[in-house]
Amino acid sequence: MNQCEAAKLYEERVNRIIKAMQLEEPDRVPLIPPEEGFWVSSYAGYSVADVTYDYSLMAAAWEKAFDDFPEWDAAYAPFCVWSGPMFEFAGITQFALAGKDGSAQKMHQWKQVSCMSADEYEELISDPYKFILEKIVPRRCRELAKPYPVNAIAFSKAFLEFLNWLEFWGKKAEEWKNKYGMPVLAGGFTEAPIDFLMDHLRGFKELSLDLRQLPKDTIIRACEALLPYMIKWATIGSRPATFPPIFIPLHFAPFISPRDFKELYWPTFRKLVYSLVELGYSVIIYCEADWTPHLAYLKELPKGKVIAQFETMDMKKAKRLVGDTVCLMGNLPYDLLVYGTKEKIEEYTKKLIDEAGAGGGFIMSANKIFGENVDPRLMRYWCEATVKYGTY
Amino acid sequence: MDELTRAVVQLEENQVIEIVRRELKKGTPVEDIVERCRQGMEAVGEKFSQGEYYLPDLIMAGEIFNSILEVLRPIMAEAKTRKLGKIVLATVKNDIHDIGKNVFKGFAEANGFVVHDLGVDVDPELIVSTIKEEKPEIVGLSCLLTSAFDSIKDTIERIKQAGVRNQVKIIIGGAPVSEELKNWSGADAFTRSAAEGVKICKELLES
Repeated sequence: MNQCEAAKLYEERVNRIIKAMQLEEPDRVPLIPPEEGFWVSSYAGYSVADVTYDYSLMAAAWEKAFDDFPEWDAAYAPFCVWSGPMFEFAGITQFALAGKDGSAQKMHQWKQVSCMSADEYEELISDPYKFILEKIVPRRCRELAKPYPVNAIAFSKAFLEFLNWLEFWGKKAEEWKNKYGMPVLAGGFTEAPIDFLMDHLRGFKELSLDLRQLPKDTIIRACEALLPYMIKWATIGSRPATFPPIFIPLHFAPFISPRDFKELYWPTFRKLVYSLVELGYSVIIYCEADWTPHLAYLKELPKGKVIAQFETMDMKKAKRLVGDTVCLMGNLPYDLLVYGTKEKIEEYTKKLIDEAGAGGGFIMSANKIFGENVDPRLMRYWCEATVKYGTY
Repeated sequence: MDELTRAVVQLEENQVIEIVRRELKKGTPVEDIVERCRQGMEAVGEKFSQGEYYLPDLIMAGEIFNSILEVLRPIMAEAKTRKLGKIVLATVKNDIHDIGKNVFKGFAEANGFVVHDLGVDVDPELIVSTIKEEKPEIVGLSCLLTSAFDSIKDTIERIKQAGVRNQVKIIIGGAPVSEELKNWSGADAFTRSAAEGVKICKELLES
């Protein structure tokens, strides 16, 4: 592909996604598999350890997938495998790194560790930045907890590695645009304030108990104190644009009661989305697990600025309830891509397009982030079926 | 409804512990106390199934049950509490997630199962040797990651090869499990809900 063809393809793909996001009808339903690097690396014959410690291999794996699956309209989140050396320099204890210490794990895994106690809420609320920097970072990063100058050296090494990593992927994104016409979907990253509180500070079990054992007001004030930092997290390395959107995975919402959702989850999350949109950004939210109980809330989000990706959802219902506000994305069952058949994949792809695709506002995707076991033949059928049934 | 049972259902931890201590002082048999708490836990599971309670409530209930056990443990050893059956429980190899497994464990214990918990990222060989030693009626395999599907299948294969497959019923649990995964891996049952899982385990005992 020469640069001119690539540029044309890039524009086609980006327009296809933007039109869908703006609830208009593109030339066909865009296809964006929820792939973060774990499947493409196994597809290209690399272990997760290989690509975690050598990001040129990670890039090569993506490029093989771009060659073989040109129906993809974007690389969903290519940088999620991260940099092993960076994690090691900082001594991050948050992740169980695949491939580290001979582990046969096929993904990096998030450890549910609580590193903030229930009596530290007021300290967090009074100065989140200071609290996180001085208390949480040393608890999360073994090397940064060591006495000066060991911590300073560790920080410098980790930060330099981070800059290398950023520079590498910045160049890669440009190269993919010019060589493969392939856009990268996630333009930045942030979290809903209460998800940050859960993921990075309190932990799932502890926050669950807080809901019953602490005054609601404490949790609300913590979310409000975190909100400015969540906005900053999204905007810090990305320019405001309709494309690419800021990626926000939503974690705690499906597990809590409608009342807790209404009082604790939604208000600061809604403010986060509106703040980003007012600054000129668009967002993609990943509604993990079953969002059916909270679905109607999405109607309150700014129209044409939000892609809502679903895991468990009746897409027909979503189209009817919120399809005029958010672009729907989802949710081919992952099982089908692991041990389905050509017929089953065709049938489900058609069903999704029939249910959610009418008039645009829909992006074809799967319901779960890919592991290494997606069958490439089934991936091929899915690509073909999306083009076959998704052309408007 | 009994006062203790109701306090458990309403997730009033302090009240529960207060009543348990009071009952012990009164000389109420431990098995009676456990039975009333068990009924409360069953009702909590029921409320979860009906959408009235949510996962944080189940976690809270598990905490309360653990507190009850702490109070009762010193005297439990001598008491004859009802035992339904034994479960060997594990999050399978290459997966370190255990929130669901732990909630299931709490409810299974509250319902009278003895649970032998092997933890997370558990090697199939350890599961096989534990089956041989502990002779459980049920094996519970948990996972959160789609990439752990192979581990579930491998574990069940190993159980077959070791010749103990027909001695146990196998239930798989976790957010990504499905009927298809159950069939593909050769398990007997699947569940995405801890409370439902315990109910299924009771059915498996009778099947």
